[in-house]
Amino acid sequence: MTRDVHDRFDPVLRRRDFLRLAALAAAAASSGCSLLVRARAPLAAGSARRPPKLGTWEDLYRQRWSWDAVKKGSHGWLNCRSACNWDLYVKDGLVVREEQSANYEASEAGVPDFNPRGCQKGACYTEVMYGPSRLTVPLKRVGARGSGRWERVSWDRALDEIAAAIVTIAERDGTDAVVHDLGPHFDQGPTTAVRARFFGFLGASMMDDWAEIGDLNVGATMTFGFPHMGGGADEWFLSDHLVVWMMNPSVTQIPDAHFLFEAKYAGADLVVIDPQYSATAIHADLWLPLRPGTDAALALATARYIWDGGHVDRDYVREQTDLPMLVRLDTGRFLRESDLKAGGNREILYLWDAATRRAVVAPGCAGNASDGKLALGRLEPALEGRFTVTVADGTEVGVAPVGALLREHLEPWTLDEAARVTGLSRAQVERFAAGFAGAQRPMVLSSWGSNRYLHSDHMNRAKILCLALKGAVGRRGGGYHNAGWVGMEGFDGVMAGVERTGLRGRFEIFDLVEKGLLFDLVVDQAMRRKSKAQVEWELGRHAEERNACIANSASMNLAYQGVQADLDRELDGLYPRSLGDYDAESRARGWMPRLPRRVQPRAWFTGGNNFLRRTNLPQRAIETMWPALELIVDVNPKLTFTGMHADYLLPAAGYYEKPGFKYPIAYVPYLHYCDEAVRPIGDSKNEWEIFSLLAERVQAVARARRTPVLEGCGKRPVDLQQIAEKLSYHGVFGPGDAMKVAQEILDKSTSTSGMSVARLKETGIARYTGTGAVGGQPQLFNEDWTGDGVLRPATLFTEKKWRWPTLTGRQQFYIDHPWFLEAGEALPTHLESPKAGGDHPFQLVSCHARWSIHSVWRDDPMLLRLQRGEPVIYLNPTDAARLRVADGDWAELSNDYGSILMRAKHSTMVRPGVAYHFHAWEPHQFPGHKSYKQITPGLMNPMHFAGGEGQLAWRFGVWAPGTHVQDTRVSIRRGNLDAWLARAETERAAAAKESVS
Amino acid sequence: MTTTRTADAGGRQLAMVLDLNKCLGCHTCTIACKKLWNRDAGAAYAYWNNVETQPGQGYPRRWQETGGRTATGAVKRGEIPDLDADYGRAWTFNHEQVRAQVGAGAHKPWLRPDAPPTWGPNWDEDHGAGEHPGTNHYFYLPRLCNHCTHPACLDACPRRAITKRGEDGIVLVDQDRCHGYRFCVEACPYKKVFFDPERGVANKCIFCLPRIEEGVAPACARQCPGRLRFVGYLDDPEGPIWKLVEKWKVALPLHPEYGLGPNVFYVPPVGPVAFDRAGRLVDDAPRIPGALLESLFGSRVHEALRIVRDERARRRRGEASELMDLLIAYDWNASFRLPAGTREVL
Repeated sequence: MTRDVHDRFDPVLRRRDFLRLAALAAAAASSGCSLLVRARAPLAAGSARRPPKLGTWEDLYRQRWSWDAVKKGSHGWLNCRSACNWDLYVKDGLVVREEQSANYEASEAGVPDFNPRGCQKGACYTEVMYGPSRLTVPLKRVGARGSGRWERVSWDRALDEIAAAIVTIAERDGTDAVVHDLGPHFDQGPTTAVRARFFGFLGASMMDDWAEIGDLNVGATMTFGFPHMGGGADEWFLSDHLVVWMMNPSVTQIPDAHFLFEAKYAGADLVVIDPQYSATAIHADLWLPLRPGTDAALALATARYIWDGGHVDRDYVREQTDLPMLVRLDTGRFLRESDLKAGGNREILYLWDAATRRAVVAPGCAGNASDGKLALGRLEPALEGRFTVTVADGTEVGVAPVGALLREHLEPWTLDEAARVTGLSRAQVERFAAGFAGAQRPMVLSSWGSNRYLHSDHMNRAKILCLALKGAVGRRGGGYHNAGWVGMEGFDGVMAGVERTGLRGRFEIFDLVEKGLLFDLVVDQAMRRKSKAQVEWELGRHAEERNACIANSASMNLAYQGVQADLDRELDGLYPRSLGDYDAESRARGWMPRLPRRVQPRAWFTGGNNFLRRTNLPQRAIETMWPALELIVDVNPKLTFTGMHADYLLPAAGYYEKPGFKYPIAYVPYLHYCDEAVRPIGDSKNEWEIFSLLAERVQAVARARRTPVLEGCGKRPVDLQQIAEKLSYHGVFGPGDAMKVAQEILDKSTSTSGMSVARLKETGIARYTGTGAVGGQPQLFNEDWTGDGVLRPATLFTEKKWRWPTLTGRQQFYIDHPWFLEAGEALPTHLESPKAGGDHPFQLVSCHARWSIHSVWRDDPMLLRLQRGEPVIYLNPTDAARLRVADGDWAELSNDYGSILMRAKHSTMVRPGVAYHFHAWEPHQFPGHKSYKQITPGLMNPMHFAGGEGQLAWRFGVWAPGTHVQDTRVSIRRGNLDAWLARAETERAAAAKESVS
Repeated sequence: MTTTRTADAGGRQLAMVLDLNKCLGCHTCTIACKKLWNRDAGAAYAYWNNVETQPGQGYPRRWQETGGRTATGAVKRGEIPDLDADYGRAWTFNHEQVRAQVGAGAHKPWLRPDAPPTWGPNWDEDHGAGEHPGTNHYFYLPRLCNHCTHPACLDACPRRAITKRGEDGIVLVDQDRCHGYRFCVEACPYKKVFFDPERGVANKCIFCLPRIEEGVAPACARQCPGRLRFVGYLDDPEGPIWKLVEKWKVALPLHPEYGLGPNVFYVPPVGPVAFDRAGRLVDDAPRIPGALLESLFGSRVHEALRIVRDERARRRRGEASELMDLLIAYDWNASFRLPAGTREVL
């Protein structure tokens, strides 16, 4: 069913064939213009390099470095945190290899440039593109799901059948019974835009996977009001004290890691905090091998050390943090205007002015409508002390600034206590704390993987606390870097369902919001009561709430995937109430939606992800949710494990076969264009075309059936009889117009002013012209940056003095939500990692993969040969010897959920007591197709279901409950493959019998 | 150390410096090389460029034990590595079987190498040595042909099929003259000559000859995202190679005691501070044992490490350091100093 075209460009060459084919290649090469390739100059796209005539044996090698054309490309529709410009070498109609273009410039003098950006995966995507798992024709399942029996069908038949099923389900069960699992693979070009556009007009439930996959930094959201903080990776070079804290850039941020090691040469300290002696730690000055999940303890002791040592930047803390905000000592809640007078505003908060000795309204707090700025003027806010205020009923209550409560809270966190909890020595903790306290521009790098413990929120809040005490957040060369985003508003317009192009389209976007609110916000901005970013933020939130059918993935997980009993049991005793109670209250109060509203999911569209690979306890979803699905469609260039269990496989074009824009991660301040270097291979099509054609079929079916206007998910009405009209901008963009859509995105984005697809085809990249916003979410909060100099985040707050988008208007360390107060989590604290999966001796700790971007390269033979060829579990040799598990043996990992087999690999980098692995192996790479996810419960933190208070308000990719995998515990013993398979088969047969009876 | 570093013929010598303090272990170099040069069936197992974790057995397995010199200084008779036990055969996989889902229940096929692997080009990855957390250590060592000043492979070839070019010192195996006797494979103590059993000839790193002719750096160097490779002529006083090797003396050849005059040089790894059993920081004892580094880079390694540390300390004090500026590689293009191409492409 797949077409293996390897042998067309990688022939099995015997010596004689080698000569013959080389001569043929020379003769067959197209007649490109002759040119002299100059030293190191980047190749212009399109230039051919014809092979030399075959004169000597050296010419055989010269012929290999020849091509018909060079196109510019990147790995667009891929959840890779980097963006890199590649020259794609096209020869005989195939992309034969890729090499970095390396045409970036340094952001400013004195900072290293970005060249050559890339990694080993990017350098061989051609292996995946033409590889053994490539999908090239539409397929329809003819056996049971997962049976591997498929029938090749035409595009017409596949799309007609899918369209009919969609309309049936939408009419019968509501449009939100169709689920679009957007997934973490996304670009900001036509591919992702049309997926969101099609399912938006359809009224389908779009899953927000940010948190569910464990990537959402809710600790940052609690503190900053937004989860993504960070500018260009070259800002790392400007720090004098780099702390890599829950991140492994040598493995997961390969194109940018050099800035760390170059900063060392420029005089910076480099500290790596990791239980494992990671590939980043080997280049550190100081490596701190703490016990997994104890990072908050180290941070709290460091904060205390900074405080007591007099290293606090008090001016910064007074203005930029909530430490001066007054808290009622009787209730634990912020002192609010509603406490002081009847009918007062709940979001007007106070600080204690030491000069006038009274509580005064805090500049910039959420309810302070007249003052969106933080500058303190003559105020001298107290950070410590206890005071008395008279509340509305005349009684006097004690109040204290957050700073006072914080210092009291930090009291137990001595260096010795941190050493006891973390397993570090006192000397190690002290060396770290002293280094941090003494730094001028401390910077913490924290990855998406830093959110994978149940209590990761506290770890990240505590890390940010250390930085804020030093005044580092938002300071050049300092602060918190966990990956920021440039935004492309044009992408938003296509994705969010604007129906018209040009000027009309620009105005149409205002239809998405209520006119009164729009007027108020425009006036606020004009009067300079609110920053442009804040107005965008509020408008975006409002538009999303009014229009978008976004499903909170964790809630869907909890409701429909059969894991509630497991998770309630896992969290038993950890919180005042059960997870189910918190979820129910959250829904009852309208804090978070649950979609679909009326029935279980009935149709499942996937592609930008690999649901059955990534979800925790997939055996539960397969038992409960999967059988209830009437339609499962995977639109994907590649056959994945999820695709193996789908009903239809629609072959999408690969990264080099369609126009796109790599998602605009702020590490590299350049837009990356992905060209259509070759036509989609086989019968594959780009997504713009696929979903345009599907919309036409859905529209035809709906018209034939006279389908009425449907209510959607209770927001925008859904008219399926108009869906293709709307999707195509009323005929402006047809199925073949992906490239024109790409230009539309550029034209409408403030970050890509003046850019054209035609020019990008030549250069591959262009430096952003601004920081932009997408989804009404500006992420960088630096409106002054227009492309020059190092891209830095958060200057809007620290330099322009606008308020942060939090309740307090500042970096907020005190969360006075009733749930948090009840659970004792108002301030960042250390909470022990619970033993998920039962009381087993090893902690199962994972890292993003070095050898794959999620599962995309996982089954690629070229890269598997540079690993062990099979999934491996890394064990410390001491542990392995005790367990009698030799290197290369099967290791059986088991806990309360079952057991799985992986190959053991010994490594001294691994902390004893840890079973370490790199994620995203396909389940079909394990015996019995059981991956480590079968024994990973994926805890949910009930606090993250909270809402109704400032920044604790559910929003796509900002505040949502997720799943946490690093708390998982396992037992390990030497595995016996035959016995394990026999046992697995017995259990399977018994389960099958039970379900029949 | 008496090895000369210029080609005997009085010609010029191209050379490479690799700064191991910047190596990520990402193997982009390996893939860059593999994709460009080693795609033939008979080269499936071969990696002209590989990255290995040190300490470790490396690729091919035990290459350091089977070549070089004995404890008394005598040249060892080399060995020809075994395809399965030492290189690791290029595993093939059962994708089609897994797709078809033949078999039932728990016994259905899963994706795996067709034969159980026992060794491969990166088998040792991140294994290292020492005891976590006090003394465990490892680092990455990318390796390619050293284009030696006195190539053992050249001397070993009875066909005179191996030549060292006068203009740039690149060592090449003439694909027409070679008869596949494999004396060169046996003789090279770095095990960087490979035999292609399908074509019946030996081959090795050509220092990306066609690219060099056009003034473009070798793929392993130009594609390195860690920016740790420098390329240029050893005698070019304006170039990074001469500065790092001759002027600053921080870049050292691998196994200088083999006596072949390698022209690939390494800035040795510094590594983090070690801890004693009580968890105290042992600032003056490096985590990577000096003896290990000395066994790889010779006795000059200690002085090279001292120079790197001293210059970094200078930068920390706010003073200028030419060495640190070089290693930072502010302008990446300046890492490669090659004359512009002279041969016009057809």
